[in-house]
Amino acid sequence: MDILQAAEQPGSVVPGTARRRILAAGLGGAAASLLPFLGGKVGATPRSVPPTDPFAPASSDPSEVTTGGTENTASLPSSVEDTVAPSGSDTAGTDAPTTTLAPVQRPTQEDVAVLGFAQSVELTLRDLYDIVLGGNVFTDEVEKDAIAVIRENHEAYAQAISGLLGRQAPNRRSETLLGEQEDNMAGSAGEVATALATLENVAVATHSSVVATLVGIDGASIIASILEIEARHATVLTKLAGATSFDDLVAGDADPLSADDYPE
Amino acid sequence: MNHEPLQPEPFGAEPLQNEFTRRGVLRAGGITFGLAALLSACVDDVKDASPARVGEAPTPPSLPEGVRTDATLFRTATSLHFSIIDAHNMAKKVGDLDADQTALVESLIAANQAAIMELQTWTTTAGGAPWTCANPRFDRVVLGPIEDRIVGRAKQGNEEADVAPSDNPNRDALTVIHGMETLAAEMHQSFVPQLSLPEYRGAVITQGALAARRSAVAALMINEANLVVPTAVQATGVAAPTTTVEVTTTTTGQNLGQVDEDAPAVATADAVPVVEKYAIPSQFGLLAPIQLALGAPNAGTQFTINIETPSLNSFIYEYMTDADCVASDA
Repeated sequence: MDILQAAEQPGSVVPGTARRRILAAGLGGAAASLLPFLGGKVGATPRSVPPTDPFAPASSDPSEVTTGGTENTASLPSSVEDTVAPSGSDTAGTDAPTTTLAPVQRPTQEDVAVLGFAQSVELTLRDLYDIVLGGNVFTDEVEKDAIAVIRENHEAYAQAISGLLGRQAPNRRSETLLGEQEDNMAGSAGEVATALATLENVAVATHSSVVATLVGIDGASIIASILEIEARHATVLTKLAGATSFDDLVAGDADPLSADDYPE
Repeated sequence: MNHEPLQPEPFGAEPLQNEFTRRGVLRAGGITFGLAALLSACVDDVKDASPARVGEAPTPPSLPEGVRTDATLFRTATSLHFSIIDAHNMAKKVGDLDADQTALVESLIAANQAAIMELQTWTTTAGGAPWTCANPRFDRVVLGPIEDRIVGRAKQGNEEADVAPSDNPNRDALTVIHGMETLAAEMHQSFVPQLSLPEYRGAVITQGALAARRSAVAALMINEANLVVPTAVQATGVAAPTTTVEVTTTTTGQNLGQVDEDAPAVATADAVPVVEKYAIPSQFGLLAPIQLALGAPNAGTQFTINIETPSLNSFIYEYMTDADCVASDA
């Protein structure tokens, strides 16, 4: 067979050509392999900080609250669960938030005693209103209806606290407080309204101190919703007592009751 | 022309028809992928959490992170009391108030100023910087539209008609006054479960009780016979009072979720359903949105706006500074 013919056949390998192909293929492969690496270096500066929503909370869980600049774990019971703190901002010139706490939801043992006292105050008030309604002190229909509604409210408050405490709820009134106030539930409508307004203000002060004491936020929330309406009770009763000035209607100075003073 | 016959190619010359053969392409491809795999395996892993940006797009701004802290809540409460003062001043300006009503508004403003000082002190206690002006979002989203409905304004954007001035500015002003104090009471109550320390909760609920008293006074100013909501009276088992409903042609306001069954059931162009305000509107403190109905009736309805307690989009976060303030009349 002629060599020249063999060289012209398709698919025949020529040594010089093979070397060139191998080099070309190698360079092509190297270039291809560098593409992912070089691609990362192309273009603008990468974001140094991912965009964040300025209005997004640190956590959607309402039980996670960060204290602003103060470490307050010491004032909470050991049952409080420490969680990871989100990064805070110190642009306001304050220390960065350092601690995220999950407040206790359910009443603690100490809370149960405090809430039990609050319930006894509510039941006592209900019974005092029963005395007023039984004595027909208020003859005006509107006023009598208001007294009846306020009486129902106090019973509802006691029931709400009972629902929170379950079998730990005392469900009894304070005989001491009842005995102290019983005599004030008779007299003219104005006198009784004044006495009841004073009692409502005392209840508001008592519950305010209770909220400032409770660790569990379930109990604090219930008492908060109670005392805001009791404050309105006081304003209405002050109005029934004949007050007309703004200062008199919103006045709420009273000393809170203490469980130590009214053990039963 | 050269008529010499073609000479045979010398040994080793590359025939043109052999440039792309199946075997050659497969070989070249295999070698390419093999080398690529080898080099890729040898290169360092790139774990870039911030992928590159290509083109001329501007870099997104780095926005501050909003964290709900105790100080944030106290600052927010402070800002809302400033905004409430703004609302009261607006009511004084546009509400045609009489002497007694003006005196009440002055007292409410003074009470809110006292609340501001108290809350600013608590802000410092909680480790934050006291806030010194109104809530920007509240003023823009709530107070602006309210004022428009009382004084009227020309149409804007794709509105079809001008906003007509109120047919009874005094009624609307009193509605706003009552609604603002009710909002303050709800706000403080809503902050109780959000604060981290019992003493902070006690501080805000004390202010909440004061605001509730002011709300009751405002309700009694509007109608002194409206002591308790009729539905509550019905629940006691005695007849509902019949003397507490003041029948007017156009009375509006908010009812805090209570339905006044004695109100006119059918609305006309000139008479909208009466929605009374009560000193004791419910058995427990409410957190529901406060609906204000304001302005001149149009086909038997009024413009209504819901006011809600401050939340994530209206908090005064600690990164906010005086530059974020809006002017306040306080």
